[in-house]
Amino acid sequence: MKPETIKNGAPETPWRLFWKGFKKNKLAVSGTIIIAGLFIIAIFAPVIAPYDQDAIMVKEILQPPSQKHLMGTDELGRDVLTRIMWGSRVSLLVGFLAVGISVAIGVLLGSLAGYYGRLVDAIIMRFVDVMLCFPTFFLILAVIAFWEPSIWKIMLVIGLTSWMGVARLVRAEFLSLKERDFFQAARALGGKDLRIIFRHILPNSLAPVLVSATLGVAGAILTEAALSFLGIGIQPPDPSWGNMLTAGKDNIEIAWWLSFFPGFAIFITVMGYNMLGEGIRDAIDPRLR
Amino acid sequence: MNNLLEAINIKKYFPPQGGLITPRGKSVKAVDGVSFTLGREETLGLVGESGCGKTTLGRVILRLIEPTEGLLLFEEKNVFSLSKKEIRSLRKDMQIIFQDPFGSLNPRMKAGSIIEEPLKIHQQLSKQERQQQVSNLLEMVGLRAQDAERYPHEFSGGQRQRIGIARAISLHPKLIVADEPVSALDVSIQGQIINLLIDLREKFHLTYLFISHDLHLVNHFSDRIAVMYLGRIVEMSACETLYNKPLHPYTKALFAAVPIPDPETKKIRLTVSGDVPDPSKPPTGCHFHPRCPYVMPICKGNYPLLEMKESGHLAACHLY
Repeated sequence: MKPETIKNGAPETPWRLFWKGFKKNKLAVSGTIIIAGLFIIAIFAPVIAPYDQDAIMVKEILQPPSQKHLMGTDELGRDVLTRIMWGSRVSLLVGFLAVGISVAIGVLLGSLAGYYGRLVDAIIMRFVDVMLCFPTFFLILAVIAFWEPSIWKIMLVIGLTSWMGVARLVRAEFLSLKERDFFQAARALGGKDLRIIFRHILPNSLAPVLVSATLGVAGAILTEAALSFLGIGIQPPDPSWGNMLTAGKDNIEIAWWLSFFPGFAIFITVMGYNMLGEGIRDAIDPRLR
Repeated sequence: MNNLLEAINIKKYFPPQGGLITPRGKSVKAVDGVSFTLGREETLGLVGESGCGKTTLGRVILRLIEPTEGLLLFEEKNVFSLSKKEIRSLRKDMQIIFQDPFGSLNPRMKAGSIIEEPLKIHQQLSKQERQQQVSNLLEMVGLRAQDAERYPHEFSGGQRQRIGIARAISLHPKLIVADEPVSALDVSIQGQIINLLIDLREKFHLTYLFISHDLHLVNHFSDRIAVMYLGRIVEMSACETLYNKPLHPYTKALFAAVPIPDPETKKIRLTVSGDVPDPSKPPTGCHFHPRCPYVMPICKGNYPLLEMKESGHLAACHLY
């Protein structure tokens, strides 16, 4: 009895396989570069920003883009580039924390519903249906109307109102993985529920969650920008892309750069996350391998 | 000799689909009153067409699927009345080998972790001791100790099945339900895996419930054979008896369907027409009567009981 030959070399971990597909995907790589760039800007904003974020240069109000002010200055004489760099911190923070909250809730409830099924499933999924009935944006408006707006409240509210998609996704993954033999094998080995969930099902269901979370970051950034634009998000003088847009719209006829650059920053960021999300989706889709 | 396993009148009905809008169907009787015994270190082959309930029966025995009715005694303990906690500790005594070697291993766990997991759950061992055991198990099933570091997708089907077998024997179980362990493999690999299972049977004094649709394989591997048709056992006896003198027309048809690699042999073929009937609407009387060449009026009315027709030879047929 001679066993079949076994190939040699480094073990092909699932992550390495994913990385292989990811590297080949132009969309994913461009998205990663954009987002990495934004991260560097956000982290090093205090160092690389050419001016102080609140520095008012009275003699240089509403200057068009020039060598001194690459993106011009606003009606108070503040450097737009500087404020965009500081504003990127708000966007990334809101994006990541809001999505972190929504993924945590979504994964927890989705896992419970998918694993235990029956009554647990029915209760959780009806709750999801109820939550989906709320128009998220107006719920946020209502919440902010009652309490003083702050970046933390915005993140919390966005997170608490956007977990339903993740919950449904995780539940669906659990339902399909429960039909697989390795789930039955884990049960046959006498594993406890928690071990089966965390060792066997969750690791295999996280790929679509990752995609949804990446796309969710883009959504959260847009929501924050919209809230700030309406004046109920980040409050001036703290810069955020949304409230810079609001300030810029008053002078749009004489100073296009005040609206253009914050808008462009939002556009690039959202596009970067969408490209990354779709790139990950393609890289983990076995049908495209 | 006392029996390791005694199954009495096991039933598993799957609830009907539909309800609110679509008309509610009838429940599917996947396993409909199956009784058998399994002695220690005995191998019982369970044969039948696809959809006859043999896989369901295997999983009900391990309580991976909850039974509808019946009694299952494993070393005098009633498996079906055990609590979730008690059943967990019983798992070290009964294990399963799956049909699909691609679906039965977690794609995100290394081979070593897959084999190590049962040891972690049931035994208090140090990490070194566990790793030593994993290496031993890998070598026992014909793989190399260093293969512990590889992921399932790096192995071939036969090698994956070996990992599945190593996982099943890691706790030295008494009973192994082998659910078509070789039918997803190439014929050349099938022999290797069967020989491995035979070696392990001798080494660990295993009792197998060997589920398959391949009569010759079962005959080669088992002590006794049970033939299932539409959720019920229609014939059961020792291998030689069944092989040389099958009683039930369905068993005869199964044997006739196996090609014989000898052009000189002229065999009178007993063929059955049609497919297995829909198990939610089984035929009246004997389930096999619409396909049976020897059908008699009584077959349409009464289901024949599984009775001792000759010594040690049980069959459910009105012919005898």
